[in-house]
Amino acid sequence: MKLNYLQLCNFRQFYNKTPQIKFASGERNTTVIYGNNGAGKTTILNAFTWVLYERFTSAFASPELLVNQRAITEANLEQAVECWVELQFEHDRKLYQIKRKCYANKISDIEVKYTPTKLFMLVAGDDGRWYTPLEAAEDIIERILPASLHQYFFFDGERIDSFFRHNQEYSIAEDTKELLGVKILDRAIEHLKKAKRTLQEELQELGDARTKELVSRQIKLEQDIESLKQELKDNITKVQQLEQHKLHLSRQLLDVSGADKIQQLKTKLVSQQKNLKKDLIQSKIKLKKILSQTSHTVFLDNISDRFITLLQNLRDRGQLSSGVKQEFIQQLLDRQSCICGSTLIPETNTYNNVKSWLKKVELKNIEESAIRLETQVTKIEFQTSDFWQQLDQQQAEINHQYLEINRLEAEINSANKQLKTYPNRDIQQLQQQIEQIEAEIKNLILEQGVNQQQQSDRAEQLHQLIKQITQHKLTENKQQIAQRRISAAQESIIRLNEVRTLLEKQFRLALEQKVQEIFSFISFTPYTPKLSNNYELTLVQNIAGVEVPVAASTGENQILSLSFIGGIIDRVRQWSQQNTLVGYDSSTFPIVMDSPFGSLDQIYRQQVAKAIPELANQLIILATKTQWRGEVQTETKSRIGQEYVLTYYSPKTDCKPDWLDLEQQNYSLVRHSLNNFEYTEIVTIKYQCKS
Amino acid sequence: MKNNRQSSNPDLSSIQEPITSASPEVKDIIEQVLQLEKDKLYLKTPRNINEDILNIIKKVVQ
Repeated sequence: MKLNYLQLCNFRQFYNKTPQIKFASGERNTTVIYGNNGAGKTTILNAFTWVLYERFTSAFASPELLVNQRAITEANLEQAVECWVELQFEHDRKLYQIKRKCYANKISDIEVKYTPTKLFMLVAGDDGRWYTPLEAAEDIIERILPASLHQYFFFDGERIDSFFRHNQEYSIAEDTKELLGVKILDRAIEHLKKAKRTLQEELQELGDARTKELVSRQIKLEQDIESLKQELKDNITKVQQLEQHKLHLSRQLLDVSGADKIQQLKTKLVSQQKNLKKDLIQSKIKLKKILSQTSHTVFLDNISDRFITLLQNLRDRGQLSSGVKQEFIQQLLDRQSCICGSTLIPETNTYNNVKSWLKKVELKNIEESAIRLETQVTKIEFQTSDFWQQLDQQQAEINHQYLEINRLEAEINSANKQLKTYPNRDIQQLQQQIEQIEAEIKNLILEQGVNQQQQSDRAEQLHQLIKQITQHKLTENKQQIAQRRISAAQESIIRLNEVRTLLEKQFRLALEQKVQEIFSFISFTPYTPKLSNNYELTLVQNIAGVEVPVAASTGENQILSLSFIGGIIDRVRQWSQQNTLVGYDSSTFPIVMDSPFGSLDQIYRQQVAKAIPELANQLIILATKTQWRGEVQTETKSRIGQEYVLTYYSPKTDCKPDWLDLEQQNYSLVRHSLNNFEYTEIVTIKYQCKS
Repeated sequence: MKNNRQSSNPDLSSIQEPITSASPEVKDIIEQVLQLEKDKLYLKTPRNINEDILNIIKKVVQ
C-alpha cells in the first residue's frame, strides 16, 4: 500500500475542506506534519484508521463527536452537515480512492443527530478509468491491509511501549501469521481435506465391498488422528498460556522488593539446571556409544589367547610358512634348472615336482594375514583396558552431573521455600501460584506424551491400511483414478503442512534476527530481544553465559516495539518478494506515527530518527516542534519529502501565539481566531530546493 | 546495521521448497489451490470453494 494523499472535510477540528495532504515516497519517503498539542495530530492519525477501518486509537477522545463544531453551528436547522475523510492510495498497480462519509443533522440548536458512516470506493486500473468495484470496499481493504494488523502501521508513539505488555486483547503471533498468509495455507489445507473426503466417498461408491470397508476404516482412522492432533494442539496452547502466566508471576516476584534477589538467583539456577540436563543427555549418548562400539572387547580376552596359541602351534608345525618364496620357484622354472643341478624340461616329472612347490608357497598370503590378525588381536587387550577406563570416566562424569543437578535442585527448592515463607503475603501467594502452575504443566506434558504415542500408533495403522488399499487390486480404471486423486490430495496436504511448519519456524527466526539487528542499532544497552514461539517479545541480558530477563524501561519498550514493527515490515517484504506462491502480494508498507519519540531521550531520539525512514517504505510523522528539534531534524533532513504545519486557531483572546521557523520562513502554530471558533488549518511548507 | 550477535542466517527462500520439489501433478494442484484461496481470502466463508478444489484435483489427475 502506497499512500498518495489524505483530505478531510469537517472532520473534528478541521473546518470545511482541507487541502490534500500529499505523502512523500521514494528516496525522500518521509512526510512530517508539525502541530502543537491539540492542533489535530491525533485527529489525522485517526482519520486514517477511521476511513480505512472505522476504528480509533485509544488516545482519540470522544469519537462520537466527529463533525466539526463550527460547521454544525453555522448550519441552518434541519440541515445536514457532511463530514468525510478521503484517502487515495496505490496497490498492486491499481489506484484506490476511498471516502468515508457521515452526516450530522441539526435538529435544534442543542440537538444533533449523526447518521451511520458509509464507505465509498473507486478503483482505477492501467487505463486510468475510474470504476466502482464489484466487491465490497471493506473486503478489498481487508485484503490489502487486514484490520487486525492496522496497529502496526498506524500508531501512537507514546503508547507503543504497551504493545507487548497488554497483548491479551490480540495475539501478535496470529496477526503476524495473517500478514504472511498462513491463513491461505490453513484454508488450503482445510479445504483440501474436505475435497479428499469427498473423493474417498466417491471411491467408496465405486469400489467393491472390500474397498469400501478399507476406505471407511481409513476415514475413521484419519478422523481419530485429526482429533488427537487437535487435542495436542489445545494442550500445547494451554501449556504456553501457563508458561506465560508463570513468567508473568515470576516477573511480579522480581518487582516485589526483597524477593527480587531470590527470584533472580532462582532464574539463574533454573537456567543452569536446564543446561546441565542437556549436558547429561549428551553424556548418556556418549556412554551408549562407547558401550555399543567397544564393550565386546571385554569378552574377547580368552578367545584371543586361544587364537595366539593356535597360531603359534601352526607356525611351529611349519603349516604357516614354507620358507620358500614364489618368485624363487618361478625363476627356477624359467631358467629350466634346479638348485641341485638337474635340468627342468617342461612336462617332465622333475619339472612338475618343482612346479608343485608353487602351490605350497601360496601359503605366503595366509602367513601375512596371520601376522596382521596377530597384531589386531594383541591390540584388543589394550582396547579392553581402554574401554574400562573410558567407561569409568564417563560414569564418573554422569555421576558428577547428577550430583550437580541435585545440588541445583536443592538450591532451587530452598529458593522456593524462601519465597513461600517470605514474610510478605503477596510473595507467598505468588510462589504458591507458580508451584500450582508448574504441577499443572507437568501433567499436561505427560498427557502430551500419551497423545503423541497414540498418534504414532494410529499413523502406523493408517500406513498399513493405505498399503492394503493400494495392494487391493483396483480392477476398474475409475477406481484407479479415484485412488490416484486421493493420493494427490493427501500429498498436497502433507506438503502444505510442511510449508506451514517451515514458515512458522524460519520466519520467527528471521524476524527475531531483524528485531535484534534494529534494536542493537538504536539502543546502547547490552540487552538482546528474544522472540518466543508465540511471538512474545522480551529483553534478556547475558550474564556469565546465562540469559536473564531484563525488566525493561518505558523507553526500552518503545524501542523494542519500534524494532518489532520495523522487523515485521522488513521480513514480510522479503517474504512476499521471495515467495510468490504463499503470502500476500503486498510488499510495501507505510508507517503513520503520532508522537514518534514518546519519552525517549536525545540519543535515542537521534538513533530512532536515523532508523525509522529505513524501516518503512513510507513514513508519516506527526510531531510537535520540540519533538522534532535539533538532532532529529538533522538526521532526517535528507529523507524528508513533504512537510505540513497545523495552524491552530484559538478563540481565547489572550492565547499565546507560537510559530515554527523552517528554512528562514515563519509558520504559525497557534494564532488567535477572529471568528470565535476553534479550528485548525493545514499549511503546506514549500521551499525551493525540494523536488 | 550490522548484526554480530547471531551468526546463522535464517533462510526464507527455502520455505516453499516442499511445493517446488513436489511431483508435477501435486505441484500443479497446490499452486492452483493456493491461488484460489488467495482470491477468496477476503470472504469469511468462501462459497463453492470445496467444489472448486475438487474440480482442480479432478482436472489435474486424469
